[in-house]
Amino acid sequence: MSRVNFLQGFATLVRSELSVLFRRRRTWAMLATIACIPIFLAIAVQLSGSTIPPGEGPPFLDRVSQNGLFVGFTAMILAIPLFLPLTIGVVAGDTIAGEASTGTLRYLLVAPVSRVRLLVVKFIGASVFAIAATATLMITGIIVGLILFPVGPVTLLSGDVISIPAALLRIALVAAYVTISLMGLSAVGLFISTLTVIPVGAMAATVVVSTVSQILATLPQLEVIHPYLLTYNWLGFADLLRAPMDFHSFAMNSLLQISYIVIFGSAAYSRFTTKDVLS
Amino acid sequence: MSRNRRWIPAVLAPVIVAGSVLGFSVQANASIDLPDKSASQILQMINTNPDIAFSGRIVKKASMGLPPMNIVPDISQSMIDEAAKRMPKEMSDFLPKASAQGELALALEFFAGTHTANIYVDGVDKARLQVLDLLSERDYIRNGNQLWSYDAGKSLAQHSVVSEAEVAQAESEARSLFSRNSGKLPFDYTSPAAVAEYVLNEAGKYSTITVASDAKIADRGAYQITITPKGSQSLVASATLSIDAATGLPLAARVMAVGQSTPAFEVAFETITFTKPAASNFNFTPPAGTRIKEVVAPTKADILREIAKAPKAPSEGEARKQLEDLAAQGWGAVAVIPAAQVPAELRLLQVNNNLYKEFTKPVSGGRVFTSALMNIFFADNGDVYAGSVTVARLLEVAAE
Repeated sequence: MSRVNFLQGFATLVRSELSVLFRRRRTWAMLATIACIPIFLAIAVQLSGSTIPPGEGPPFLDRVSQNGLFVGFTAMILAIPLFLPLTIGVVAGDTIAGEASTGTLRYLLVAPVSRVRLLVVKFIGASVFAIAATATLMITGIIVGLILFPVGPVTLLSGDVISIPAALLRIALVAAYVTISLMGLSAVGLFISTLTVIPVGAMAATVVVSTVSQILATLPQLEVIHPYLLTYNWLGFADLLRAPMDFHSFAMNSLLQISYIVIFGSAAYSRFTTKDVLS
Repeated sequence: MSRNRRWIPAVLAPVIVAGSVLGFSVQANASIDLPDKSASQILQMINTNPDIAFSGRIVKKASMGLPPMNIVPDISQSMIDEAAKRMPKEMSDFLPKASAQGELALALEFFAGTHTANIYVDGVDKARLQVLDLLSERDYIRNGNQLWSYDAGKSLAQHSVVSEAEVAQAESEARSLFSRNSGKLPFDYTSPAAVAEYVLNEAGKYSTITVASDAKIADRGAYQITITPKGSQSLVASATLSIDAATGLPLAARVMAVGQSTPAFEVAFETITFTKPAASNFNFTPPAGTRIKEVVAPTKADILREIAKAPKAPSEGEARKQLEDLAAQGWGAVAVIPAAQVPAELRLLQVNNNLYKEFTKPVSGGRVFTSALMNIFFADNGDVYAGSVTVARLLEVAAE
């Protein structure tokens, strides 16, 4: 097969994977649920009417009523421990096990598609969903914030005030940060998905990995392993809201997530290419 | 490809990742060999010129062996009580055992856990410490005569103005006091070498001072001196100071406690650059919606008044004698605060704060607070004994 054909074939595979993913009602239901997080948060703050004293409730919550641009940040903090990993668990856990359970995996592999390519395509699909999920949350947050609250220059954690366009750039960076975090979890989910033909099992196991990782991070006795936990830097995106902007946790988190992608991607390769595909 | 060979990536990937992590840390801690210097030469190197500009990231790690307990800073006892009412009994383990607020919370925080901060310094009168809390931040900024502290979590800014006249007066008074008494100094203060020799001699009475192996800290070569207490009464196993070979700026300080393999207290630069930080780092305007508290800097008269209020302020002679007694004990020194001189606030704390009970344990004749570097004995008669010594030594001193 020539190089051009290879790339064309690959692009077709990715396109078909994405179209299957985004034609599913389940995918849209999950994105809609994610969109509800900033909406409910903003409505709750609006209805409560009273201003929340600083330092109470989730971080930034007290700022929401003064500046609608904070809706997205606060929603992100609420969504990252459970809601976002839950949706990633569903998508990544389903990748291989889902095809196996419906019996389509056999047909996919009968067509001249190498298993490696199928894995890569599945990972790309899960990553695109991660981008869609964080973008949905942030964009809904901005829109709801615009409708319900005054919007103006944004106060950073350091007390400096930045213009609205600069704030939008930081919102995009925060979304990118969280997307990278979710890609690490996607790789774990992809590996788990090659272990079983029962998709629900793989989905649940992926969510369990993220939850267990967060619980381990709260145990002081395990401090030695904390920096290597998948979720260790997940809340570090706040460093993007300082002045001067601090990219240290962005870099450290990216390195950590890439390590997880390399390790679990390789494990998924080894498992999937040696597996007997019976269904 | 045979099936077995397909498992190679699954095995290799973790090895490669672990290997590069290890390789990175080995490279960061790679041994380095600087031209040899004596302890005296290293002491003379330490930067005493305040007109220096740099910025960097500092990491502080404390492992003081405090009793494990969940203290949630900035929660008041009433909030805990309120939560207790609403929670089922079975979950009471999850309630914080004690509250810590204000200065006490700050002090506890300092002696526990890990903190990261950015520091920016430009000469004598421009400095900023940026404490990087999770999802929050605290800033302490000095810009000329303006002092600001800002707490993003509480949305609170505190402002104070340094009176330049007061500072200048204090400086000139100190200078004249020094020149009047410099003749009494046991060394020639104009010669750095003489000062270093004197310090080494004095410290050498109670400690062994050695030049430790050169280290790489924040990617810079550093000389290290280690002080090891003589005798066995001290809780301190050793203390090490690392000094940048090029600028003489201390880059790290580490205190090891007896019987503990991780440092009890460690503060070190993780990164540092010796360039002038941007002026914007020192400009602070409280953002809209911030509570601003004006703090009037205490004047000399205020300070004198406060000192006069202290219970039974010891006379100069008494104070000097106490200090000399302490020094004569070396590392086994125990500070004794007679009941009459214990501040009323501390007394109150002992009576009605759960924290006190959590942190101390009963011994015959009182209660002791123990940590990796410091033990305190609160005798039942109100006397307080404190020192970086074993509990046995404290009780021995108390019994005398």
